[in-house]
Amino acid sequence: MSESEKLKLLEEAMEMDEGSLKPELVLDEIEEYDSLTKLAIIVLIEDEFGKKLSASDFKGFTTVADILSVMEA
Amino acid sequence: MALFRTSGVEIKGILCAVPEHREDRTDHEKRFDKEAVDRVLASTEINAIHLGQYAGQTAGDLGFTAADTLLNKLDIDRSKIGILVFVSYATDYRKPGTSSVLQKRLGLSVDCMVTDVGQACAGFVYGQQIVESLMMTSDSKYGLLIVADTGNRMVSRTDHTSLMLGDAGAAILFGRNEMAEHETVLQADGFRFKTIIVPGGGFRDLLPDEESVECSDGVMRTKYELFMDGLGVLSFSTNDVVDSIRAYMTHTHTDIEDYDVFAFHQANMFIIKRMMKKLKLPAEKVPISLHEYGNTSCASIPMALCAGIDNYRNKSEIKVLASGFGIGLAWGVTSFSLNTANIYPIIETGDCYPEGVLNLHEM
Repeated sequence: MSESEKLKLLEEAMEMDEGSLKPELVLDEIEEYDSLTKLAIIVLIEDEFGKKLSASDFKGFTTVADILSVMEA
Repeated sequence: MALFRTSGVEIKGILCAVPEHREDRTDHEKRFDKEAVDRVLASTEINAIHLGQYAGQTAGDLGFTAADTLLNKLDIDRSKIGILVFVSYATDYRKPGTSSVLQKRLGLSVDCMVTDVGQACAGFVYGQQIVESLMMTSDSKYGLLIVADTGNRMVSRTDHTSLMLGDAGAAILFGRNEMAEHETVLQADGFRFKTIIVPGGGFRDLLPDEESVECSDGVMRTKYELFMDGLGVLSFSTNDVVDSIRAYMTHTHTDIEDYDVFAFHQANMFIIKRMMKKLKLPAEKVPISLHEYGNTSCASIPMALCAGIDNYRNKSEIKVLASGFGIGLAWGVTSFSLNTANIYPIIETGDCYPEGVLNLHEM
């Protein structure tokens, strides 16, 4: 899956406009990044990539790129 | 697998009571931005909750009203109730147990054992096993299980969780039926005890100060207020609990077609939809009470059964699989047959027990 396809999936999960996410963005600075969004991201990654993320995984995420890096099967 | 088999005991009636006082988005928007309320309600689909605190109603009050109404409807000889188990953490007093107060209020005899059991969302599945086990080792004609909670009372007013928890009490009467038998699986994981917790006010930390501190989820709360690890709860519900349901069906050689109803703890619709998707459950088999009543803790499963009853009245008997999960962490799965005539509509009540607030001068 290409980076732009992954970004698009993430934008949908986070209910953000297409093209608004960039890998270098800091997660805590994204207004939409809250507890509800994290739930949506967990569901996305489990459904698309078969991975189960935990709370400690999220603690390790600083940028959008960190999430993109786990979006692999 | 912690497997329990019971026989000769069945549910004779289920009735739930909620407080009359209702809150919805109009009330929520007084405390939170409209946008935040929209997001939480869209995700949880909890459109309203009923709260007892404004009428001085405790979990014991809701449980009393449910039980008293049920016992009257079934015209039960109360002297034949030999077992009363009250499941809640929201007890009337530190001691004695609320089951003692309910024994007095319900007019039960002294030949009735009464006890409280500390459980929340797993409380119906745990509680029904406890009562049935006691019934099987006694010759009591009836056993009464009362599950109730007022979870919202200990949640920070700035926590979105305060939009989700609703108060309710449910009474479930158990009686004898030679032909009845079923199995229950009960599980627990105390390694994750901090996942849903009220850290202060217990004997570990009895009187912590009331300072509000920003927690890892960005919410300001005191030690007296509920902390819930949302991601941990999601993972638990959609993995451990779903696995337990699958394992239960494998063990009992049953599948989805064998059940008419899947009664789940009413955590929120995000979790329930995820569970339904993983288990491939059709919506018509999953009754929902959370839209109008929210997450009602241990009363959730009875609330879902009572809320959904109009969908099942065409059958005289339904086969139910129930799954409760939450604080502890604790979870359990059970299945049972239920006569649909014995499931009553949810009632709203303003009843309380002001004489329960004691005046030391009079003691």
